[in-house]
Amino acid sequence: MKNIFLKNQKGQIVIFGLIFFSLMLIPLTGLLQYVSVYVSSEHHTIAKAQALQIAEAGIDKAAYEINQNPNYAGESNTSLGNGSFTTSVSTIDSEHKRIASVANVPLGNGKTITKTIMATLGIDSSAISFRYGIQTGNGGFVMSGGSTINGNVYSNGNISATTGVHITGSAIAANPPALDVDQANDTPTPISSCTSSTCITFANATATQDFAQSFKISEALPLNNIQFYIKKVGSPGNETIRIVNDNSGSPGTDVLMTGTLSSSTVTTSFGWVTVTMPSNPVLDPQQTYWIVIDGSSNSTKYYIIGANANGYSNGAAKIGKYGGTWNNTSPSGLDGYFKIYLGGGTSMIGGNTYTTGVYVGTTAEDTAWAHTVQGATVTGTIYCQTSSYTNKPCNTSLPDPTPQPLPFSENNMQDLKDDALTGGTISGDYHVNWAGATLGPKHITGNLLIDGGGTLTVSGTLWIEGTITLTGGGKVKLASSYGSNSGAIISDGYVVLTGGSDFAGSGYSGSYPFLITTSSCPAAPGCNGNSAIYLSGGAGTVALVAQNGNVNIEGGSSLKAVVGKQITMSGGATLYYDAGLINENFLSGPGGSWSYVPGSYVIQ
Amino acid sequence: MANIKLKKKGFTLIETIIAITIFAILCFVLVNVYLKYYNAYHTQQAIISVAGSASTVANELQNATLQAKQVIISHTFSSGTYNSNQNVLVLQMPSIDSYGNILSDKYDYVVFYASGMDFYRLIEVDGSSSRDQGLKKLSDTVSTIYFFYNDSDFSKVNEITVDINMQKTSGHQTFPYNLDQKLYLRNL
Repeated sequence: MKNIFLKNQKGQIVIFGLIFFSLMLIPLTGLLQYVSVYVSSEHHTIAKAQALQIAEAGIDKAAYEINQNPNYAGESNTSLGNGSFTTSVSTIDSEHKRIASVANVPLGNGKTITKTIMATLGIDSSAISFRYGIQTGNGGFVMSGGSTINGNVYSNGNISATTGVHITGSAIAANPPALDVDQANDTPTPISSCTSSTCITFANATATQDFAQSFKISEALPLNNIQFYIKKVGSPGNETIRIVNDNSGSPGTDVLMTGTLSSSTVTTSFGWVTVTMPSNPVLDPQQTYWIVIDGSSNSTKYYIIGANANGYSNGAAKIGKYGGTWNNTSPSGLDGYFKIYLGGGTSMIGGNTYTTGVYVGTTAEDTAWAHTVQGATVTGTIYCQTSSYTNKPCNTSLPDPTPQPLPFSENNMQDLKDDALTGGTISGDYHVNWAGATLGPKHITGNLLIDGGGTLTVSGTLWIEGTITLTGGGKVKLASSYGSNSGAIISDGYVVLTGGSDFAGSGYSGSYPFLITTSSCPAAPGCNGNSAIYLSGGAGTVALVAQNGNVNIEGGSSLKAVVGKQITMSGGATLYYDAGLINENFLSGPGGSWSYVPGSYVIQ
Repeated sequence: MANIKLKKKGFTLIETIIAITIFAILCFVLVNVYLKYYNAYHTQQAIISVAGSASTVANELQNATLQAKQVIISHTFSSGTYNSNQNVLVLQMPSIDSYGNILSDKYDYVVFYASGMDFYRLIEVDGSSSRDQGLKKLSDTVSTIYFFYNDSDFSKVNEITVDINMQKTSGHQTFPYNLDQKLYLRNL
């Protein structure tokens, strides 16, 4: 018994120990529990942040894939970091796609954090939009020789067509741009008193019966009206205003248009008098023309026009007789005061006096739309205000069409050049012969010549500062790396495509080469009579773009699309237009990529 | 029996003193340890609380800003007018339907503001929007919050830097926490 009691006494410390341990364990347990909750909460917070980032990565991945392949539909359970994402792509319209990216990040306890982001991708089709197989600037276009366009036509000027021309789609000719002063010699004014250097007197004697002033216009727009700074002495009769050709430095007798200077509008004091031309032909900016003020002469009833010495750089004044002898002014080198206004006219389709001048459309939806339609057979509706020699009357329910911007902006062009510069520069000319070559992106400071049956494989955007010539079976094709995207060759000089030259895309559907020139030939110096683009036969699936110059197409050429400031088609030229070119994707450069549309981002 | 007698004698004075002394020492140690644990517990609790609160505020700000179309100068909510400034952020967000599609020309509005140590998010939505609306207290530990905009013209702001200072007091101690974060407007 003694031993047992002693043992009980010794056991007191155990009780104390347990109590002590328990008291310590209580706050420790609470703290551990709180830390556990905090860790779980932070884990949850981190997982949510990760899920957001992974979902955003899914959107970025989808944008990348769509730019590689516009038919990309999404992907499932792609691992990334601690989670994965699933993307789906739905097409809203031809220019927009909606992307849904769902990210999952497991928490490790069987639960998963899910984050969904939706965003819209769009493509800037307004920049590179080929809604018409053939589109022209204000120079309009001229079709002759049985030329055919398989597609729609949009012209910011007249569509002049002779017998046997076919446009299988719709033809639209918009009114030219608003009136603008193109040429002027008008300083100093007013002229308070005449001297031999500030006034030119005419219609007062046989030798000085008529006045003439040569000029050049700057762009191919309809000549609308002319103004003169003029006064009269006595009461002379009306004068005939003629626009004629240049004949070795003097007015010729080929009359392009005539108007009337009414004596009643001229006073005995100097003032600007307007002569509106009844017809508005488009003159060639490269040619010199003469304004002739033609009338009778009388020593007491005549006109005086304001003048200066060499004030106008694009021409000179002469005095003499229309159809007779012309002399320099006295003193020589004077220029009369005048202004020429271009634009502001109305558009026309056709231009002939028989209904078989141009055939427009193949279905009831194919229409002809212009202010005036003349000499046309149209399958669908003719939207116009005046018509003659057509197979049906005008439907006047629509106003005149307005000019549409051409597909490439100046910035688009520069983007392409910048893209080409990324691959470095080749100084001088570049020649591709029978051996062929692969090139791009690259900037070439000289000319590009492809001949001898050689093939240039374009592996990136090319910028040619000089001219481009394909002849002797020269070919251009895009490298397979372009996939379904298109590629561009941009030139600052004129382009000549002859001898069965041929173009091809990458081999993938929807891939086409674009041959673009910034040249304003034949108007620019150094063009030597060449158009900005001259095509004779062949060409294949290429889109030709010369928004500042003339595109001259001859023979049986087959093209993807063509855009020019002015387009001339003749010799049975045929243009096949593919609707797939409406919104064009470039591998790089302008309007070429699907990108995120601001305002479309949603977190669900 | 002799042993039983000894037991009845009880504890000697020395034994009792020793026992009480040991007990007092143990109690003293125990109380000290307990107090230290208690303080440590509340310290950690305060730190955890203020950090967690900062995360919540940052996440909610990011979530709203990413979806915002723009920072707007001012908007009148049903509870009053709020103006964007260094301490208040008013955002305009495109309204969405239940499928997450943007509703054209319809907008929801959200304002983040502080009142004392409390930090709130108030959302008011267009009638056709599927977003949840209402007032939510995101934190009660915000001492200061500053919004820095990358353009003086609110309509052009696409990046906001938020500087959040939080603090929580436990006992006689104050535990500060600072969070700087850049926020981007994806819908601008």
